[in-house]
Amino acid sequence: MDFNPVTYAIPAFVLLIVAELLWSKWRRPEAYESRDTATSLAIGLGSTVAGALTGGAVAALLVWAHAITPLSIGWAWWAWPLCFVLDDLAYYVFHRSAHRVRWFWASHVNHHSSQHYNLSTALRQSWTGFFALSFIFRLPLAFAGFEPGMILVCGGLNLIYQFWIHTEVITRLPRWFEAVMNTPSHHRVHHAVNARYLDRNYAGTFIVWDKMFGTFTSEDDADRIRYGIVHQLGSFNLLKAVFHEWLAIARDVWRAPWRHKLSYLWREPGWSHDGSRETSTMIRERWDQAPQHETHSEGS
Amino acid sequence: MMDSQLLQFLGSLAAVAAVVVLTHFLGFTRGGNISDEAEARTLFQLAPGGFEPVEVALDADRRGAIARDEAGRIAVLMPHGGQFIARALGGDMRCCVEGERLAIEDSALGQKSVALNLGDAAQHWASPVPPAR
Repeated sequence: MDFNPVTYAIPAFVLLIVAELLWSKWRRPEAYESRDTATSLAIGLGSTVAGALTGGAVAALLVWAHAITPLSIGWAWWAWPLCFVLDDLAYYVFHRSAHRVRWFWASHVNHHSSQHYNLSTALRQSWTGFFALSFIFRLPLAFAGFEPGMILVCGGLNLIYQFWIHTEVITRLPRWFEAVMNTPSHHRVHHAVNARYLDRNYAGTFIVWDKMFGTFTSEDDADRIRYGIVHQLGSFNLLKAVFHEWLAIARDVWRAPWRHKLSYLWREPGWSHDGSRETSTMIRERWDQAPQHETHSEGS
Repeated sequence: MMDSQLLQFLGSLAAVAAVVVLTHFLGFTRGGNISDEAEARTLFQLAPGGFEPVEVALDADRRGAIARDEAGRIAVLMPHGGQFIARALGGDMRCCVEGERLAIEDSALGQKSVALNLGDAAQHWASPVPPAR
């Protein structure tokens, strides 16, 4: 099946960004910044090139996994929703790993590198996902017998779903929807650098995974969200946004004592062998221990 | 196949250029402002490694700020487009006062430098101060 739904969604992405720009002009002028938007869109364009170069290899790997498994589900109608839900679970596992394992974080960090949160931010997709071996999270679905074409289409639909939640235009949606689905409110929390929000809400489409696995936090309107990464880039340089963490890993591995070198690849972002840096867990603990926040926690 | 991919790329490139131009002409080019000292404190607290300011001074145009913590460490807020980034400075801070402006260079700022209009307080922030007790 040679069908990529994301290709057909691109014109809608552009139109929605224009609509959000016009809305922001009158209602929220700080939502956009022209250089930030240029970087976001350039990263998005580059990711389509990276996808075109490596997409064939990912499809071939899925076909290989599907060929060697004794299981075969075929194209039954009920397999589609099942595949979509399980692909979303696979996405949750990938996304959580992308924040907790520095190797995967290096590929994912560019998605979080903007200090703005708007529809253009959604297009900051990875250039180096294939190099980081991110496709391994999809292989279990092929081993389980799902058709490779079905897995790729479901993955594309999941990516399309995640586009519209990158906005501050929508505050809250109906309660039943917020309870089950990933929404702009839930995903704003995910992009926040506020200590209490770090490494929360990894969901793609269904927020229920975060609720099941204990990583859910709801948005508190009293605590204004600040976006980006803990050590803000302070640059609109496209290449810096895409590759800075890979370079930082190389530098750390080079400088570290031999017995710690591998830890700079698989430990969480912010880990250091001499304790000179902070992980998100350490930042949250520091925040929890601050006197004013202890009071806040007790009161909430 | 190759032709359709090239066409798709060129179409996307044209759309990217059009949106960037639109963003510029709609006026999304102005820098951000720090509304007050409370916002500055919140932004300082986001500095990597943590920073709890005990003394804060805002730039006259609200385009930056400087702060000192209890241990005597200095941090600055520097503008980045419409947002701000907080950086705690290292031990190699170099200051220069020109009238009411304080210019700061530090390895933590990389190639960049920060210039703040602090009025009469510029000289105060340029001199090393022992940690507050």
